[in-house]
Amino acid sequence: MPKPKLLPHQIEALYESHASAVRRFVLGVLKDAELAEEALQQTFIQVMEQGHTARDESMRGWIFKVAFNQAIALRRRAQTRDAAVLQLALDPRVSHAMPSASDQVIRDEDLLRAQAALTELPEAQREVLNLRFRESLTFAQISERLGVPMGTALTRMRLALSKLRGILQS
Amino acid sequence: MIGHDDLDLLAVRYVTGELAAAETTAFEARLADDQAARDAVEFAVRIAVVSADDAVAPEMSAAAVSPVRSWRLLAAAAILLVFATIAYAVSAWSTSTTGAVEGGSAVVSTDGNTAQAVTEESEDQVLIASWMAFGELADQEAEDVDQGEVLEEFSELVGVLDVLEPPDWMMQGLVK
Repeated sequence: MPKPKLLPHQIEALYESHASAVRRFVLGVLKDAELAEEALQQTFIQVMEQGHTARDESMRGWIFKVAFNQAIALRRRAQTRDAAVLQLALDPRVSHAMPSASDQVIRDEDLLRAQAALTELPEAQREVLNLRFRESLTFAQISERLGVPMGTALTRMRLALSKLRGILQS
Repeated sequence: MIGHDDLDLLAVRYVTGELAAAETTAFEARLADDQAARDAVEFAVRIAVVSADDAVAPEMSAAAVSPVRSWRLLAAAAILLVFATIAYAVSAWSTSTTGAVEGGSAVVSTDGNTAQAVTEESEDQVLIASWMAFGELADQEAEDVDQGEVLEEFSELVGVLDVLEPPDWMMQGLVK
């Protein structure tokens, strides 16, 4: 017997649980805030129509997979791939589409935790994060700026990410 | 097998557009089936946003706070102007009751003591200067504060709050 479609309150709960993460994910894929919003919208339309077919334990993965497919389809349509250069940190459209301090993209408590985690990073690692995300330097430019091999800049970023993930997941 | 740390770094390079075309294609092929890779992309974007937050915050706060600061300044200026006007009126009344000395000499209050060494001319100048300063401040603030921009900022903030609820398009879809 086929499962019935999801009820409105179930869809609402899924939206509240996953929408912000899905938005971040599709933004990372599309590098375009407007397209990302559209992908998010299309994703939850799919959730409404097909969400009942997903297994509960894999719902997050299912939603992300749908989101990825929607993002790729949108990008093909918009043909923005070649033009997509992510100015994630400084693009005001992105910062407003994903308001860093108040949007559910990053809830206040998460933001505070993440900001606190940043302060726990060694200076050298924090510097690489700042140069990459605030000043939008490439890793090649960062290595040039800091006078270190590019591998060192990448390693510092990797270590920073590892430490941040550890702190944020603890 | 790529480690989690390497996956995070790969995701950062992906979202910042630093992967070569072939690497991008390979990573996107992985994204189609690998939730860990998708999570890494989501994590990379989150860290990018948080890292950039200090850079974004001054821009947002300047736009959001400046109207408030402006109106506070105007209010303070208006209060000062009211005080100046009252002071002038009291002084004028005092002068009329005691008689001002010609040539702008000291004003004497009704009890016969010298209250202030303020001339009529200087009082006028103070009042005029106050009005002019107020007018200039108001004009300046009007120039500095683009009302459309302010409304846009506020609407964006409201929009931000709106996303805490499921969007209309979704609710409309639900009731169809």
